[in-house]
Amino acid sequence: MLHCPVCKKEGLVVLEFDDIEIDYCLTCKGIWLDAGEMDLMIGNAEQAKQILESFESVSAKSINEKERPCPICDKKMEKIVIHTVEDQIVDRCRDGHGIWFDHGELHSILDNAKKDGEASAIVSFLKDILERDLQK
Amino acid sequence: MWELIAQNRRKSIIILIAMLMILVVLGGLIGAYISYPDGWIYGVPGAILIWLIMALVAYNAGDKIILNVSHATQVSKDMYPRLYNIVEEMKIAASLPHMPEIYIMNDSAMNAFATGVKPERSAIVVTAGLIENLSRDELQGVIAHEMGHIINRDVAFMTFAGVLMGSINIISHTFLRAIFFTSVSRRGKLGGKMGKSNPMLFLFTLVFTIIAPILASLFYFAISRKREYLADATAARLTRYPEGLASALEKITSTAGDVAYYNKITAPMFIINPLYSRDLTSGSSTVNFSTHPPTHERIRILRTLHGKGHVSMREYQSVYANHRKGDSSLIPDSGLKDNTPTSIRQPFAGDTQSHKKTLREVGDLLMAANGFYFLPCSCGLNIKVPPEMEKKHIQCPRCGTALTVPSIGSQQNFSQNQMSQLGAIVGAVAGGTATAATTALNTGPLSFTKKSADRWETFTCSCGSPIQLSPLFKARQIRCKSCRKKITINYPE
Repeated sequence: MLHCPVCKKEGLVVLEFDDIEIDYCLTCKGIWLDAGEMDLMIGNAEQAKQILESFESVSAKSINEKERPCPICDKKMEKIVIHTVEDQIVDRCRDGHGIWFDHGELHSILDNAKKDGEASAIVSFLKDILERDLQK
Repeated sequence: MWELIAQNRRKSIIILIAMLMILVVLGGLIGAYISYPDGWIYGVPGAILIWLIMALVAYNAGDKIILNVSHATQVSKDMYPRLYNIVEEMKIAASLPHMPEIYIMNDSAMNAFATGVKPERSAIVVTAGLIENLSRDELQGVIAHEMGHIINRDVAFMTFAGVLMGSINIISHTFLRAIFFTSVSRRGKLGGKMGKSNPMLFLFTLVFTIIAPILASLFYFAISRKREYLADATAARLTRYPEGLASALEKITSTAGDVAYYNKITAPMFIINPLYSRDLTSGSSTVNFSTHPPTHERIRILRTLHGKGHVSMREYQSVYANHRKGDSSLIPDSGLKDNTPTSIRQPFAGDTQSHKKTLREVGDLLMAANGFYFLPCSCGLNIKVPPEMEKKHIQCPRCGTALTVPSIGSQQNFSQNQMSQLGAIVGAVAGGTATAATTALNTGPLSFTKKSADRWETFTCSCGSPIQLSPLFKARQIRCKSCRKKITINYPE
């Protein structure tokens, strides 16, 4: 069982739709996007890796946010910036296992993401699978 | 084939005796060091005792220990027929009287190994990554290679030789540590009594303790490399499709990634040694210390064999001899006699399942084996809940439906409550007729209705234990494994 990096002791449940899975915390509603599942969403491992690596990292201290452990390897994740209308800081595993989105971050990113961007497949998948969650 | 096994056995025995000699000398020398000069009398039996205990454990529980440290999960036919069928097919082709147990290791790296000291108690272990990434032909090649290890009795030998190597390792490491730590604390006394009265013997003891594990592993590795070619030859004969194994080996070596749970002893058991996986493709200087021959050579031999259009042990032998510059000692003549070449079969055509589907299939299987609850929502979203999760009520993040881990007990309670409420009303009017209705419900048949036809689903029996329904479960009834109650399963229209 993977553990939520925010709620720590809380386990993540697996949500599967159309043969693709994401890990989801029932308590804080954050999601873990596994690198392998990103491959499946985009359908191209190379491109998925590029997207995963494309974000620039910022030091946790400068933005005053706590470092969180990767649910897979338990090592501290790095903070990265995702540019939409306003910049969002999310956590990425340094060993490339995946990305963690807090509920609020995800909401804003999905609302403002470009419809034709490289990651559009991921955006539309997440919008679909979390439809009800994002309305609130 | 019997000749083959006998020849293997003779060689194995020679190697085992050589390794045993190392153990005996090691024990004697260390005994003599501890209590100079007559301590060898205790040292030799002491070392043999350590080996015997370990061998006894390995013989009786070795396979279970290996499966445990490898974090492998056993799969049955109804859990994963795709894999089971391939193993069964190869078992029949190899005319093996016992079906090996099948285990899956939850690891995305690609690898496989066989274990079990006796053929009737053997097991084949594959990683999840292997099933996810190989086609049917390739998977069949790998399974046939492992089956080859089982029928050539390699597993038993490797286990015993492995234990012997392990004993030598343990004894020499313990001794070296003890000697260096005591000598540091009591300066100037390095060598003890032996060092004072016979410095040459002490030096020899020290050197021998250092080289004994290396020597033992050289013996161990020398024999294991030839066994890999032999298992490849067997795989070609069993599958009649050498290209399957060749392309599987190619895939396995080309993907970087390490199996998480292996160690020095279990490493040689894998189809591709995980400790050397990076070097094997280049076939570089690790050759002498590697348990497996360079993979590119194995692939080349298999491909050349495939190109010939027909397979037999003799055919493999001649291709092997060509590639190995005349080395024809792989299979003895008698092993080649009654080996009529059979033509290469056509590749398997029905392999149309998408990679994504296979990934999910294997993932679900492992989750089911680990006790996850499967909750399909009517909107199409599947929620898989780990067994440690205490929440029993979940809101579907897609459509907002409130989901409960279904239990036939709670369904019944629900209707029972409704009934008794109803009964209270009715009873108030007509007086006590509702009791009969509730009793009827209590003793009535238990039932569960599946939400989807091709998904894993979990529900809880009225006794509280969870019941997993695999996508292949099509029967009308299931029996609870803990309370033996019969439960009727209904299917969606």
